[in-house]
Amino acid sequence: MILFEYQRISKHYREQTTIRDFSLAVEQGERIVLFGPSGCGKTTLLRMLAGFAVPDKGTILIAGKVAARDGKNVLTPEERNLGMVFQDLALWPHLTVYGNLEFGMKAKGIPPAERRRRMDEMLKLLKIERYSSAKPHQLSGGEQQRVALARALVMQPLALLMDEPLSSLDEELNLHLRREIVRLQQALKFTLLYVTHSRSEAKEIGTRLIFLEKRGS
Amino acid sequence: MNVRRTVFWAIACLLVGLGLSPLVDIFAQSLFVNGRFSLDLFHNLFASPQTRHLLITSLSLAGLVTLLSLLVGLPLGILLGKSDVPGRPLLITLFTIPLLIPPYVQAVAWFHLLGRQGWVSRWFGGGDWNAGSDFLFSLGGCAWILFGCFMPILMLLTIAFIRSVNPRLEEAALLAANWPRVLSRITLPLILPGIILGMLLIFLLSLGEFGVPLFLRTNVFPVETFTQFSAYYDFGAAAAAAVPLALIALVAIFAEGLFVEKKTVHVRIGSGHGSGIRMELGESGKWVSAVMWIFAFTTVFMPLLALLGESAAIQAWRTAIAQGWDSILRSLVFAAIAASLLTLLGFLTGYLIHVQGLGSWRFLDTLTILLFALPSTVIGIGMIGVWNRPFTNFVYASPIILILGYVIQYWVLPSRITLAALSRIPPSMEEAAQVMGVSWTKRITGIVVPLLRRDLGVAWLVAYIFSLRDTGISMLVYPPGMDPLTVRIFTLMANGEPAMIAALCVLLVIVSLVPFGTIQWVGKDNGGT
Repeated sequence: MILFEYQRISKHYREQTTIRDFSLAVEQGERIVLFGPSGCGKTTLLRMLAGFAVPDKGTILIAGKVAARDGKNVLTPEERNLGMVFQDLALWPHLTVYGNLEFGMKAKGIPPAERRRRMDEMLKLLKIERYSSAKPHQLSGGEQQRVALARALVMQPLALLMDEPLSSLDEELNLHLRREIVRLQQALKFTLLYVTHSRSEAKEIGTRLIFLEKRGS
Repeated sequence: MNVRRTVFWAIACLLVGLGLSPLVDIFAQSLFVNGRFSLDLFHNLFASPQTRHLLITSLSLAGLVTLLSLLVGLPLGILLGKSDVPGRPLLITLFTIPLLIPPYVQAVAWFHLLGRQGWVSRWFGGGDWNAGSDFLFSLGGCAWILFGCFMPILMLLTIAFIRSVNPRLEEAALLAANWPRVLSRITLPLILPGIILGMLLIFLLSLGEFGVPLFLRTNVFPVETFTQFSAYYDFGAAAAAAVPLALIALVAIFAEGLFVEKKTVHVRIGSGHGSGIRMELGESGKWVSAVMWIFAFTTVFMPLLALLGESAAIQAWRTAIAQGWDSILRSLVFAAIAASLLTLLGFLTGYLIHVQGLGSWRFLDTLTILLFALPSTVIGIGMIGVWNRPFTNFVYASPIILILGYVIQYWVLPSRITLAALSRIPPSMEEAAQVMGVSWTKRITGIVVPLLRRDLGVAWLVAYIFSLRDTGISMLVYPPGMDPLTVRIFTLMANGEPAMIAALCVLLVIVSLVPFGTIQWVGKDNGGT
């Protein structure tokens, strides 16, 4: 079953065509990696799927519904039911790990018992249960990555989008977390759209790799 | 329409409605005589030789204050923002103090220092020394006092813009050139929009100031407007006299907008680069610091000490408290209400501008700056025209009119503080909640406001100080029996005891400086100024 689809997407940035006629259909449970050099438009493609950028031309479909079409977002980011791990992780510094995980569920009106069940399960799966009352700044880089992953997955999104989440980590931790992401995906069977500029990272994580080239207008 | 867009439209309508209505009214009032369209008021105004004199005096005063502020404020800002001169934080605090005190209170303080019966006269001439008084009651004296009041604007903007410059740009240049060359070729061109904005604000604030010129008998446009209004109650003539000031402010702000628009590519206030690499002064740092301390002592402390000395008698304080107690309380309450409203509206406006939530975001930003730079006499007289009607009497005859005036004039302060704070927060903080399906209101209350809580606290305090020290709007629109402290002092000055007036001025200085001390404490706690 196709979960989301880019249909002939074009995007211009500062009078230059960054993306031209890009099409891609992603099946449920796939691990897709978009990789390529800086400025090739991979992050823009991810942000268009999330609803933070609008394609100038073309259509984006999510679970069969039109999410964006020809310069207009039909669905807002709030309505797309996607999870996202940002490059800077964007953990809320004023909330504890538990608070970070609970915020989205609470706002969506999920009952407390269900929230607790999901959070406990996710913290255990990511092996960060002992940090539940810690604030993000009290955690190491790897632990923060896990919290960001847990925060996105606890919402049970249709797909998880990851924008170069490991780029700021040292090589050893980077290698370790790549395997963790694959293990987690295999356990939870979520669909993954992963953006990186690293070929080795792409090879290790993806079941399908999309290489994007940088071209002039 | 979703909640976010509804709130944005409500804020825009409120800002445009409240802010532009006094301006529109003042233009309309000046164009109608006895209900008929007429240019007579302008004809009378511009045909009068006095107008030319007023215009020359007003522009000379504003130009002189701006020039003095540039000559002193810019080097001070560079040295305090970029060099390792000892005692920087304390010196910044000291030089900022005059900005927080109503200008006319400082005029009173200088009067007690340099006037005929002032402290210097008593020390040097046994009461016969007139040079100080002659200087004070001249254009130069008026410019000197306003320079002391407004120079901190240029100094603070220079420091803020210097801190927002990416230090790598300076470090790269330092590999090939010395500091003076780096400052002149790299730093100064990058902070030029801040310097121009500072000069413009000082020029317009000096042009619109009426308390100091009125006290020192320097006849300028705002004094003329105020006199036409309060002495002759000639509303049309007052409006016509206010129009040139409004026009100058309008032209200047839009010209600055066009210029700065092209120059703000590299610099954003509050982008958090810190001071980067510091210019080392070595041994001469101590001397530079000493000169600054002497200057601060002479221009900031001496007048305040003279004021304190004048009010030394216990009886003066008893009378001051008895005569001003109700006004002090009113000032505190009005300022607190205005500050709370300003924080809410300023936060939403700053957020709207930051996310460019409406197509008109740039216009709204410029409008808030214009309202701050407009002479208070223009806003005050315009507000009277708008609200002094039978069906709006509940506003006009109550403290609501005062609070509205403060909100209109000082809207830019919390808006700009919010804007600076938001530029430090990555957009991903809010996007992370948005992608989870969290509504805008919950993102604002659960993520944005908690992340900005300290900045919003500072915004509240800044709005509070400016509302508390306001004189111009308060003088024009205060309802009967509801005068705040600034107005009470001004009224009592006509026939009150000088010692009692000085005591009331000291009280006003104290209530203005307590929140400033709080900001300093919060800033220190927050790791910045």
